[in-house]
Amino acid sequence: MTTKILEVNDLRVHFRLGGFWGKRAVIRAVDGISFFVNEGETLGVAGETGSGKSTIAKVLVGLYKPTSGTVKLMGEVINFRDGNSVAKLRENVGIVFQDPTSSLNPRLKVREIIREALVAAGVERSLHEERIRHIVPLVGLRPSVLDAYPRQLSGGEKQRVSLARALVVPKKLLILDEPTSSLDVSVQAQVLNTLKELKKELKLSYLFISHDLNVLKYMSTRILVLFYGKMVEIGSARKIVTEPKHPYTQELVSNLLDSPQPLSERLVMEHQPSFTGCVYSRICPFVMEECRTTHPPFYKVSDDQFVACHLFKKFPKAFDF
Amino acid sequence: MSLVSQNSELGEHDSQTLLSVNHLTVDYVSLDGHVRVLNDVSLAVKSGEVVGIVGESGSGKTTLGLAILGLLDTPPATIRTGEIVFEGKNLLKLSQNELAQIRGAQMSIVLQESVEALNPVYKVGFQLLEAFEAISKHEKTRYDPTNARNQVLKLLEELCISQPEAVLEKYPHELSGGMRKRVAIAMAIIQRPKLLVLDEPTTGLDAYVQSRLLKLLKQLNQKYKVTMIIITHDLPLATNICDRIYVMYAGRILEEGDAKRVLKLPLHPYTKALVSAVPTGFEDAPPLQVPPGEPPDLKRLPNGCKFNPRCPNKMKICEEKEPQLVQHGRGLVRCWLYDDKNT
Repeated sequence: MTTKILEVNDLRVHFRLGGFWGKRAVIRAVDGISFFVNEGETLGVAGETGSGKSTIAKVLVGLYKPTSGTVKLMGEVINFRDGNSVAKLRENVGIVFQDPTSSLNPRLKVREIIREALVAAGVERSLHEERIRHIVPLVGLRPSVLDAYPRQLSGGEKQRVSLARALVVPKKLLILDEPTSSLDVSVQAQVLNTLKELKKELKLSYLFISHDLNVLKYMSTRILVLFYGKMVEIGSARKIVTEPKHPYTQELVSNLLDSPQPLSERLVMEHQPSFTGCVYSRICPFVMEECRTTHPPFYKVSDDQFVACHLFKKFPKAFDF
Repeated sequence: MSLVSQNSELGEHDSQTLLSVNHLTVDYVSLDGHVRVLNDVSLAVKSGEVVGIVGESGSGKTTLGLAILGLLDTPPATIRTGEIVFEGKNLLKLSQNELAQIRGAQMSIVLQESVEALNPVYKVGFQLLEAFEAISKHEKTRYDPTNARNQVLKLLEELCISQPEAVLEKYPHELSGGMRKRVAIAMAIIQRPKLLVLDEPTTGLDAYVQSRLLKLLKQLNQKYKVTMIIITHDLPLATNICDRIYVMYAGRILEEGDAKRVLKLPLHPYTKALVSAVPTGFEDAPPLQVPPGEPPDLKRLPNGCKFNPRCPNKMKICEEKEPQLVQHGRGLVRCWLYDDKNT
């Protein structure tokens, strides 16, 4: 029986805008998301700008408080109003951001950047050097970079420093928020290879966020597809890529560059969410009357594929995926 | 294929060439010495063609794009040798005034950092309409604000911007990165230039906006015969839209050829590496085949072939002498594996 490292249930993150003189508005950045991450697996999160991918990541390291919903880490519910509880979350969950330049302090040497994570975790000072020496070769860096400043490093090296900082204190789950999208293709390939090795070596689980379906497919055990804050489909990477069920997932997959469809026949349309009924109903080519009024529940299409779409009504409703 | 003559009696091939870059060498000069960013780069773009320039950081592709438009800052850049011939005129010999006549109306660029293309203190709408006004002036036609506005709105809509009216009323900083990029692209194509240079047009854009954009560019190419140079690090993307591709590394062209051929049957080991570095399999797929090391440091280039420290097919000669760009089949390649002189 596999253990669930992380369980997220009906997570909602809403942001209030305006007020005072302006019009009040609520942005539902993340609206009713549930998923879990098994030990040793990579859950890929697919979605475009504004889909709430990064918001989820920020909740999971305690940077945002959820409006409602629960986050369970190794079976324990995290209370976001309790500092100790959030500290526990941060102790076990690491994060690597997209832009390696802005996430590293330009005035510190690499050694100090990595050391900060040890200080924050309260690791005894005498152990620091040993821990740093241990992690640096694991993420594929030469020990000589420890005395360099971030500006002296290439993009790939900077991203590896971010990785070292996230992992110098052992973690259970690593959140990778678009970790390779600012890197060159050959460097991206090197970093992806390192990530796969690290996962085995350190027995990690990943939450891998990317808009690049080619990368997600290569990295993930399962993929979760988001559209404007709502989950539309979740399932094994193979099923999602080869037999996408939700019309939105189908559209994403048809954009894969090695897909056989020629450029001119690809499904492309303007993306605007619908605020009533199914979030995709405004642009869905298969829209039906009920799509406009009720948001579809999740249907279990097969053991490893679940979709929120009225087209799949004949399948049993699912609550646990 | 050197100077292009406007004389129509010349060969058909020559009269079709819109732009040719001949033996261009560019150095960046700084206090700690000079760095050769482009080394004897030659390329030719025919009228109506879509040409891709593919390479990683430090390959000199952006410098090449800027040089074509005459936008290189000199200093620090110094053009050592070469010429850039556009419609028979050597752009490097023109005055700034003459260049200004050509830029915008005849050739235009979409910069990688779209923020730089927009003025932060004017609303987007004002800036887009300004571009429109400029063409009317250039073409000496009457400027009709309502018509211009409608055309701008239509163009924005085609670029997947859902509320174009609202966007016109915004300042650049109020837009997201992807949105700004699209506005910058709109601004560049409003003027229907003969040659459009796009520097990393799709980075930071969502997949569906990317494919929409590629479609639009393709349309632009087919409908209005806009010739394009697409500068990108993404080889599969380039092969999707381009007719022909140049692969660059360390300021040199390593391979040239038909786009589909380059992707399917790459010749140079570096091009092969670029193709195999793109992840295609599932989670259980074997590790990606990538050459070790990072893109080259132009200050410390190796002797011989510049790719040799990372090359899986390295031979003795590769460390000693740099290969020439030679004809192989219908393409060009700079590698000792394909050079007959290698004995």
